[in-house]
Amino acid sequence: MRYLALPLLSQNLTESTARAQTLSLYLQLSLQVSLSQRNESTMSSSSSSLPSCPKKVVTLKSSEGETFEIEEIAALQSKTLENMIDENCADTPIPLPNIKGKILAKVVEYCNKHAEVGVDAESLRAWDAEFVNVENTTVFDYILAANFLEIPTLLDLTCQSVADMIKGKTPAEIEKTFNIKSAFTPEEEEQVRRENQWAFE
Amino acid sequence: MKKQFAETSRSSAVAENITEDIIIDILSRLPAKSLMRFKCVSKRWRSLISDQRFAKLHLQMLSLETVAPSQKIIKSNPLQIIDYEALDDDEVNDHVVVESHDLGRDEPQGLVGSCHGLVSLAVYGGFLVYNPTTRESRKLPASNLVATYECFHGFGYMSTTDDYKLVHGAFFTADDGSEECVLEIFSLRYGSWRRVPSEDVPLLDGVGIYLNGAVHWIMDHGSGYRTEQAIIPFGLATETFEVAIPIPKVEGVLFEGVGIHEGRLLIYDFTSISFEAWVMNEYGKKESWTRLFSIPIDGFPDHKFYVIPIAYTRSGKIVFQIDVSEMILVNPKDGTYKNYPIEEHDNVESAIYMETLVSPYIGHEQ
Repeated sequence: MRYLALPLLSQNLTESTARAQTLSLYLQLSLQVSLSQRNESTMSSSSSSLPSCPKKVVTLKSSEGETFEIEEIAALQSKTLENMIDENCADTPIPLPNIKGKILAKVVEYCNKHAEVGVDAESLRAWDAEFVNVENTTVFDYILAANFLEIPTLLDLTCQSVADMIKGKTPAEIEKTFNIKSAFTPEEEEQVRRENQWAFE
Repeated sequence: MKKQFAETSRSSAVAENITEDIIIDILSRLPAKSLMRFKCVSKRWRSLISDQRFAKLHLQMLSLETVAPSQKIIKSNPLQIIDYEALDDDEVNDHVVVESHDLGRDEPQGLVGSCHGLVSLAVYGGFLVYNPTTRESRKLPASNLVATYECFHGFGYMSTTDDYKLVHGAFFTADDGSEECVLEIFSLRYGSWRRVPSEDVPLLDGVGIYLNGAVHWIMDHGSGYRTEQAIIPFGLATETFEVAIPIPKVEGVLFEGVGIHEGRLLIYDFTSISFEAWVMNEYGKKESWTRLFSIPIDGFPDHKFYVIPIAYTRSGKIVFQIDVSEMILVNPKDGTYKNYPIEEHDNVESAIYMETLVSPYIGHEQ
């Protein structure tokens, strides 16, 4: 069983990481458009020209061993799963030891919703807003799952949700949210604060 | 959308797994002001937020956003920043709306351009490039070109070399009576002035507007009823004047100036009765010029010289600079207006800018 290896990140923001990041951001947005187009064309071709075949289903296994089924069409929202499907590695249950059942169930729900045909943009936006209207810890779990499974639209939704939540916070509140131990000494912190004092007004 | 800020012991375990590329993704979506504050969070965050590659990513995110990026107005004489949206809110006090900035000895005399959150200012003896959000300012070395009254300026971005350029041109009357133009360009990345060839330069005036890799001025041909107007672009990559873009002939209107509105070039005129603004919906296409608005001007404050549109609020109100001293927020529906509590010592010049983290020291990071 092969997994799509996530790139190991060094502490330095390298040129290629920044470019990859921008590229992935552009891709996220264009993928949103092309995915819905792809899903529509896939759905219509399977119902009109071919004899009816059973819809292919992929089985995912959470960290606790619980299994979840997801239609192949919906699974294609995840680049990780898409690669496995393309390489015929998706016939047996796929273990996802990083993702708890509670979260995996919701991710499957997200993928199913976004694979649906004929949903208008307005109601999808409202559905998405409700999807992330949960505890911060849960949103972070969604982020990790979306990152691991490479679901660009979900990653975009959840990261935006966190950004909206933190933008008005003080640095102390940020440290709590992200569990960062500030390495500044009190003098250093005072200096940084002074340099950027207008940002606090 | 209300969120419960739940602090469970789980939150620390989860947040630890959040990798740096995810943090970067989240941070790139924040307003510049928030990011400036978050420099205090940790040394790692400070280093990240100060990195110009992050600034570039953040700028690109701003251009992808469906919501308009955070913008303010900068004005000279004295140097002040105006949160123009804030005046649209009834319960606000003066110090929130207008903020004074101090550049020490380099008090700006005028504005010569705005692009990507960098504002170029004319100061005594030369120019300065300033980011009002990060408060970084860079004094440029003096050019050899002596400023005359017949000057034109522009400032903009060149994507091929990821550079910002300041264009400074002046007209001189040669001994034989002909008009000569000398054109100099300063590249922020290369850090020096260069004279560029300039034959047949149209008689331009004032500050050009940056859009799509070029700086634009408005120009008149001929006079009286036979006046033809056009927009002249100066390409920052080619460093030459490019094909003029014709402007529609509108009855009773002779366009005074160029501006920018939601990524489209805007031209405007004010007559004794009304203020007209037109936008070019498709860049370069003469047929795509459309009237944006036409509002009666009789309720406006007295003005002798200019009525310049500077910005548009989310609610559809318009900020105008009146002559060189006043700035007002007009409701086009009923023509009522409010005054911005700005200070004016001398000729006020103003421009809109985006709040970004771009550094004027690009290529010469300190």
